[in-house]
Amino acid sequence: MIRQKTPPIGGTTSSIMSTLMYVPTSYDLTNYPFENPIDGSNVYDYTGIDNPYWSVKHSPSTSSVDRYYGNLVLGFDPLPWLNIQNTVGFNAYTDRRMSVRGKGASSYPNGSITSDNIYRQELDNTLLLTVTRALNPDLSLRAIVGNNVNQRITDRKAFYGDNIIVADLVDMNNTSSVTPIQLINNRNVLKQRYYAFFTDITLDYKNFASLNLVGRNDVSSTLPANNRSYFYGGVNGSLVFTEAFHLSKDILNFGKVRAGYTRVGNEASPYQTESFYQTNPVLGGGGTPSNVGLPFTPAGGMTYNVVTQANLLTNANLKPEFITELELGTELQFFNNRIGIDFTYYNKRSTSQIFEVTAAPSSGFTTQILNLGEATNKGVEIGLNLSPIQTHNGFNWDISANFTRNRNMIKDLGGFQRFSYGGANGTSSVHIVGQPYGQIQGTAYARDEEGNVLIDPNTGKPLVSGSLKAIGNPNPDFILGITNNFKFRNFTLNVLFDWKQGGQMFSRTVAEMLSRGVTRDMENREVTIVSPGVLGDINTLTALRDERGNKIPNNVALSWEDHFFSGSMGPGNGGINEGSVFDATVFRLREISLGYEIPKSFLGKTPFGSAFISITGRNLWYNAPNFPKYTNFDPEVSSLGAGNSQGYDNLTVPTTKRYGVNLRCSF
Amino acid sequence: MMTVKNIVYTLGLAGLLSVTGCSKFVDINTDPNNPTEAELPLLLPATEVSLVANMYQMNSGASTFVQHVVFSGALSRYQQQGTTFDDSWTGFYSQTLNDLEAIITKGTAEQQWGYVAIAKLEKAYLVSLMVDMWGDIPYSQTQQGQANTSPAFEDGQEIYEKVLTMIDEAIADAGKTNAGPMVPATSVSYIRR
Repeated sequence: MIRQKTPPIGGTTSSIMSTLMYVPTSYDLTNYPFENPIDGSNVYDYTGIDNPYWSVKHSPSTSSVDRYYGNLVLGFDPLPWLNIQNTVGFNAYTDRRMSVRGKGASSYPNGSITSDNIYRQELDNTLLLTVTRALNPDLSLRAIVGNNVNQRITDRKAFYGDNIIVADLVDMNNTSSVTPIQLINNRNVLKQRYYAFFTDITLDYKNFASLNLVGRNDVSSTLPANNRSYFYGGVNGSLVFTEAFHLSKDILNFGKVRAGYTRVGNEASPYQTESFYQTNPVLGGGGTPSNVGLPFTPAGGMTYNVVTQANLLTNANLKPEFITELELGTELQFFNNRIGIDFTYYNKRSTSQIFEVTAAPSSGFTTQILNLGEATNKGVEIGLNLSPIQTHNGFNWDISANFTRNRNMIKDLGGFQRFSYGGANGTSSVHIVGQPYGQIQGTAYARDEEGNVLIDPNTGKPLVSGSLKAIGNPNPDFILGITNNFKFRNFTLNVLFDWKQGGQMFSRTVAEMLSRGVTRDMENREVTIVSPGVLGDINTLTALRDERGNKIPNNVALSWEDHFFSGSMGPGNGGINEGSVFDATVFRLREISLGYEIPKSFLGKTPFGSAFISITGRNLWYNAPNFPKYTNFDPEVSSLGAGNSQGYDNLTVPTTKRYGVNLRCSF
Repeated sequence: MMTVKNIVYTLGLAGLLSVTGCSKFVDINTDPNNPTEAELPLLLPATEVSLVANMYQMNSGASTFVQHVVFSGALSRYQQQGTTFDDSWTGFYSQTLNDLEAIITKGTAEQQWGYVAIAKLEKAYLVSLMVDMWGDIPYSQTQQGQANTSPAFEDGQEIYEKVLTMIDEAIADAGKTNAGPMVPATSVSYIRR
């Protein structure tokens, strides 16, 4: 059960992170009134914007999540070497969401209530037949044959109530008109099923060699009948070579190599295979007055309900997605486990990935579902464990470090050169053939052939390149985490430090902070600034030359305000997106925890067998050195969640420090 | 051993059931939220609304160009871009022409000649306007679903000639209807001959 209540957040105009940008830093909002004493409406210094304190009190968004789940496992051993087990699982949740714009808000004086009720349910049945047998004294076999049946349902209903009648009463009937909200393609109810037969066979030889074969055939409802059955599987092997070859254990006391080659198939989302119509959508252009809501009622005429073809071109030949992975690794332990290394190399290839991409409107559709191309992910993962100090008086020091480095690449987009998706605030994500996955796309500076930014000689502001460009790569170079663990008698101290190198981010928060001048980075605002670059021709977007044929460095000075505002070099509000892209390298003290194991003698008459108490602080310190210094910005935010679109901050709420006390008891 | 036999039978039975019931079990990918078929009386008003609604950008643009009206937008300064008339282009193809095509196909199959005649006349009118506006446009390869997602541009003059043929066809189709209204009162305009 989770109950959550938040004020308006996100990139909308009434969100508290955006309204805070309008407050001078010298001005403390805390003790000023924010409600009109007569009617309780919003009071603020800026027209059309809500006081954050007012929003917190009158415009809450709530979410109530309840989970229900259960498992029934039945199993028995009909023969000493055979086990049969069946598991029925049920897992569901409801999420009841309400979002209020309070009556008397300056952003929307009438107020409104939006409700969104989501029900999700998953049913799963897994039947396993497990054979465990020693084939001869050295060779043992474990073979599983199984069947898996699964069904998932989502049922969602959303309504919009306009014009709140009595302030602060959160109830749909307290609005003067209620209309259903059409989700994208009116997909309120989703249902999908699959069934699968699978096998998993492991052969172990003398505890040092192991071979594993897996195979699985899925049949999914989300794919067209001729493609819905698909097989995948793989083979994995490992060898403890220190045992196999009886090596001396003086230095290397344990050594293992492993190799695997697997292919995994994946189904689609429901309802992407059959064309459909829509009832009473909005027809016409994007905004008033070119759009016409339906049903259509001409003046003095009858009401017309309509059905029209959907704008999504579905795909009757949709195929499953596949990921093929080669993985090689080794595990080594030195000096009686004092030093341990775990190294993995992988090479993943994703093919026929399912995407919804834009379509040429002349085809009759605006988006289409396609199986597209090929992408690769190659990388290494290195784990290092050290035990520098192990003493007899109870003091131990352990270090464990994890290094991951991934390189991804779009190899092929089925004939397309690029396609864009997702994103926020005028930018989007883009896949370009031959370049990394999911780059940030937006407006870019016009540049000459040497990469100098071209400056408009009339305004001193940079020229904009003709088309949208990839302006940042959100994929980090590497991630390193180091945990130090100190133990002395009953005390434990754990320190986790993180380093994420590289990866870029488009930050609207930083852009707004600089252009609104709310941080000390703007201290020099009394002087003028000359944006770096060379003067350019506004028509041809090439560098201007002086009489000797040399390029002319920019010589037009701007006030700081102009430099960070309205289409200038930025980073800034309304500026060229490229200016607001930063390197998101960040160092972080992720966690410190101090624990105490309560002595057994102390627990004597209590029912507890052991008890452990710890205090924890998370996210205690960070430094992102490549963001403007005084913005103190933490790039570990994402406006768009953990999906495919990464590297965006659209006025996100900052990360928080967290402290906790943890008591763990066992009986 | 008895139990083992029973289990084998039970599993065998379950397997048999699953083989016969399986294809039905996963035959559930028809969208329960939206219609997969459209009735002519519901399609026709959609084409009429979207035809008119999508003309807004084109009409206001043309009026601005000839200075019947003045807006503060870029067009009033004769700044025209590739995207200036995007909404009309996208709307005509993805909202109007596809529904007209659906009416013509379905109406012809069902011999509902009143609907077919109206849809052909609407299409002729719209396509001629589009050629007036853009010159060469995709025409005969559009509305083919997955079969063609990049329809080729065709010569405007040839499209005009095809439009004239289509009007003749529409008149012939209209002649196949009985006296009285060509379609029941489901059409926003064109109710009577």
